Amino acid sequence: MTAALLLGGCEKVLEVDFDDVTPQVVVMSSVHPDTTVNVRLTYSRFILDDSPFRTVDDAMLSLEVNGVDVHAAQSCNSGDYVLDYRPQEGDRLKLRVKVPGYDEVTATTEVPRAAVVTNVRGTALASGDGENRYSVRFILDDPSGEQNYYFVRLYKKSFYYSYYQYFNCNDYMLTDGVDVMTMLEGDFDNQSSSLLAFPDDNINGTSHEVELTMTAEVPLDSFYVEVTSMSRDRYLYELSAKLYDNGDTFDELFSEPVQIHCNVDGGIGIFAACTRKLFPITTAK
Amino acid sequence: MENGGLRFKYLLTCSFCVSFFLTLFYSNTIVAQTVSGTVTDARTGETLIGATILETTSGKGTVTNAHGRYTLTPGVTTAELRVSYIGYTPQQFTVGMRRDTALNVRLEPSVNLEEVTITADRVQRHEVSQMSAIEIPVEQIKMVPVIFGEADILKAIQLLPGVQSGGEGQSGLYVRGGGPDENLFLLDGIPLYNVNHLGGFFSAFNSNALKNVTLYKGSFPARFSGRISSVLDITTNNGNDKEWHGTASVGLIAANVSVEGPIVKERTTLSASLRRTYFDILMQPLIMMAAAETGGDMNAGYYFYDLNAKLTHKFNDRSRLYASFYMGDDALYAKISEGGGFYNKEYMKIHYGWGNMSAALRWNYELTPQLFMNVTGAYTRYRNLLSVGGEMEEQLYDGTLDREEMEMSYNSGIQDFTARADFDYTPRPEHNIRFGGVVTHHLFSPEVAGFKMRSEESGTVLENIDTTLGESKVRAEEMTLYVEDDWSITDVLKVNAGVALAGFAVEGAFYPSVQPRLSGRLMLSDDLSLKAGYAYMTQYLHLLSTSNVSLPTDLWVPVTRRIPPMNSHQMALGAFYNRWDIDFSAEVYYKWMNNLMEYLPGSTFFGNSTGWEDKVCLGQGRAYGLELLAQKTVGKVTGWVGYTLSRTLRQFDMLNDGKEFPAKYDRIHDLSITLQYKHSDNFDIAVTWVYATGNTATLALHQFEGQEESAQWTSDGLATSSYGYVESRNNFRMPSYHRMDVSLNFHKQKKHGVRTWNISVYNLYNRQNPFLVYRGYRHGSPVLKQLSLFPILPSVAYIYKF
Repeated sequence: MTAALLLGGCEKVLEVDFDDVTPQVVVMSSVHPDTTVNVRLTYSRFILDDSPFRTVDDAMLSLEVNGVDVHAAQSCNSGDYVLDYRPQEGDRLKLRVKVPGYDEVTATTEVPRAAVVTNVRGTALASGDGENRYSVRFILDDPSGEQNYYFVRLYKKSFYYSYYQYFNCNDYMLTDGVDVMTMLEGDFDNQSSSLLAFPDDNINGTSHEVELTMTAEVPLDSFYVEVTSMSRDRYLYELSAKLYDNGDTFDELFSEPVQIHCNVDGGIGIFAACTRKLFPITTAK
Repeated sequence: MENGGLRFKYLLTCSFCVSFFLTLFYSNTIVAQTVSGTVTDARTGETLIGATILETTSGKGTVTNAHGRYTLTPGVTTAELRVSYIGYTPQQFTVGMRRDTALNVRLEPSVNLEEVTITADRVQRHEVSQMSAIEIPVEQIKMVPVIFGEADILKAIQLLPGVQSGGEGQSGLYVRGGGPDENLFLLDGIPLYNVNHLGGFFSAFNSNALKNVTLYKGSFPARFSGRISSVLDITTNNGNDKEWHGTASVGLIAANVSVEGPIVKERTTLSASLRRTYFDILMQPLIMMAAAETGGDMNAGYYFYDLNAKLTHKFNDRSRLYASFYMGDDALYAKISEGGGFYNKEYMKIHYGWGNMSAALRWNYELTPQLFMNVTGAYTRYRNLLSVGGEMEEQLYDGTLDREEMEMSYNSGIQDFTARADFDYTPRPEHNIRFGGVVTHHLFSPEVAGFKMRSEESGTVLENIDTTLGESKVRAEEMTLYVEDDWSITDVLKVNAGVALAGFAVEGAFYPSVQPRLSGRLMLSDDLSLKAGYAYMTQYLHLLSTSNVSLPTDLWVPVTRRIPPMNSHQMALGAFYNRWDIDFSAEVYYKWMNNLMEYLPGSTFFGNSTGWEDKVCLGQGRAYGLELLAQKTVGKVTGWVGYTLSRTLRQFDMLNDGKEFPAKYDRIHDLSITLQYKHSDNFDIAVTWVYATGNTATLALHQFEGQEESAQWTSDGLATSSYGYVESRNNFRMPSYHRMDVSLNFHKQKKHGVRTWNISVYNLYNRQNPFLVYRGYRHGSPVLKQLSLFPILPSVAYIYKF
């Protein structure tokens, strides 16, 4: 009887008044030096709404660079806005978005300086089991007195497909013996991941050689290593988004909730910069 | 070596401080003649805790301690003593005070429930210096209606102001903004871990074994330390020293039997209680029938049991020895064989067990009429064990066998070896000094994983693996010295001042802590008092828990070099009033907590303690509130009404963008009404109604289209995804919680004892209280759904006391 009662009255639809939950303006922009500022504007939707996201097509955008309005011309195509201004490393940007019926939405970011990377080289590793294993080494020289965030990944442009092929790194290490796990604290998956992301907390102001190893399905003659320097907001956003992606229904019940990091005042989203550096690798046995 | 030296210096300093404190204040003590002894129940010989001894001429009085002992120095040549206790007929004695006198008192239980005279001279709640402490008579606890009719002290404690439950049916306590791991559960002075059965729906304490329960929410006396939010001090029965008695009960899910009696009359007693659920036995035929339909066989179930035993030996009036033992285990098991398969033997089995065990040996000795000693040696263990395995066997055409066996196991736990000495010293009637020390050796076994595999082909062993991983244990030493004085400065002003000096050594790190405690009482009139208190507490253990649901995989771990101890400062102010035999109180409190631990976003702790420091962050918390209580413990109508208005907030740099947010169990309003009416010896009824603001939850009310720089670039640019947007942590408030429970007891005197039928109804008006809120679908459209655990639950129990 007890079991029947327990199973009987378990679930019901919750009637809650959510009238005050109205769509908000969502700003998505990843700013890169020497590139026009691209901003995607959409409206958020209520959690119980499964309709497609609506784009914002009637917004007015303005951009301040280092405190000065640069009067960048804007164009819009289905929520994708392009501001005709190319920021430089070290610039501080402030974006203002005016959408009819909404309060002004603002966000700021600073374009980080490119990571100081030298002596990049790749090696095909000898493998007895027929696997195509490669090692990539480079020297990362972290500037002192500032907080930096990095992410690193290896990829090549796919010959057969129209997208890039990213390689999972199996092992990350610093050749000078610094504790890898501590050093790369904050990486998205410390077992095998298509990228590494880490703050410079434990390497601030020092120089380290980084070694990555990976396994490819087919032999590679060449590929790229990408070392990106990110602003703090971009790092936190990427980290939280990745944690959110990793969650599933089971985790939701038993794990801590994930808040996606946003830096947009008056709205939702991320307006943050990163500076990417690509290094072509030609492998040699 | 360096740390060892530091520890030695610290202990030396601590010892010096305690000695200095005692010497400074009591070197000029004038020892006057005292009267001392033990107050017991005349019928059972059970010691009575909190009985009042009042010298009527001088007005000086005292109460018995946790061992039923008292010492009084009345300062008169002839003392007129009145000894009383709720529910007992008071007695008066005239004692000449030319020398120290021993007076053991045996009180007869009263047949008259309206003992107004008893309540008139008992030391009432408003008169003691201690505040933020509530004592609930065990008989009242047993009457509180609860789920499945199983009386449960933790469920009763949850009905007190300042205390909240974690969720529907859960035994967890959230006291004044603290977490469930911040409560010290003392069973006869010995700490217990994970005091839950069945995921927290039942507590590990069998109410039949209990004698006294006191909850401290703040203003902690110095003798208590180790947790930052509360202390639940539980004393078990010693046992009847005159004749054998017992109680047997059969409920909906559990049976219970308790016996107590003399092994050697008035000298050696035994008290023992055993409780076991029989859900597994009842369900087994159904499980077997279901398995038989598929041609297989299945043996599965869940049970828990707990056993309390206490042996008491009285050497003489000054010396007693107690040996107590507690053991409680839960087990979930299944062995499943599928029929009609390829193999002639094929099964898989799982066993999941967890539980506590504690054993203690205590010796009470009255060194002098003023000085009472209690020495304890104890062992406590909590463990959980998961084992999964199976076997396949195939008989070949030539009669030989192919076999394969496999078993994976995982276990973890904590063991404590404790030695403590407590002294109760009453040099003068104005002072009641307690001092002592505790040393605990903790042995943590975070995770031990085992793997066994054996395969045979035609009798030849192909593979035989038996390996164990992670056997390393973490050892830690915890030590505390304390001294406190309950000092009646004048008839109006009384203070309890003390200090606890604690230290914790683990993995080469040592964390010392000086914890001052102070509380005071100012009598404004005979009925009205004001009290104030301050306490600083430190906690050296953390509970790694998956969520706010209590699970056996929850794991206790010590502080480390990276994770410092938690600590709290709490201040409280209250007014206490007694009228019409009702204790009224109003208390306000403010509490700061530091080094609180929360789990990083996305973290889970399913039995995984390795690298746990990387999954947590540290922050601060604060809690404040107002608690109102009206409690009546005598008369035909008893019970209490409690209301709490409170907030509980957290701030973590790594969470919620560093902004303050409400804690999971932040409930602004919490009201509970518990009424018990004893109509006659044949019938009594109890009703409980609770109301609380809904729990908080983190719910993404918005979804947005997002892009990740780390996502894969396509020829069209960055890929987009849909994300839930959480404006702030714990942003959603679940619907309020309320529920009414009723319990009816029908008693009848039978030839050999009293028979009782208990009928209780949990959630009388079938309120669907929220346990979990989540996004689901109805008719293809997304909706918010609420999961409720317990609808109306009637239950019946049969109890026989002999």
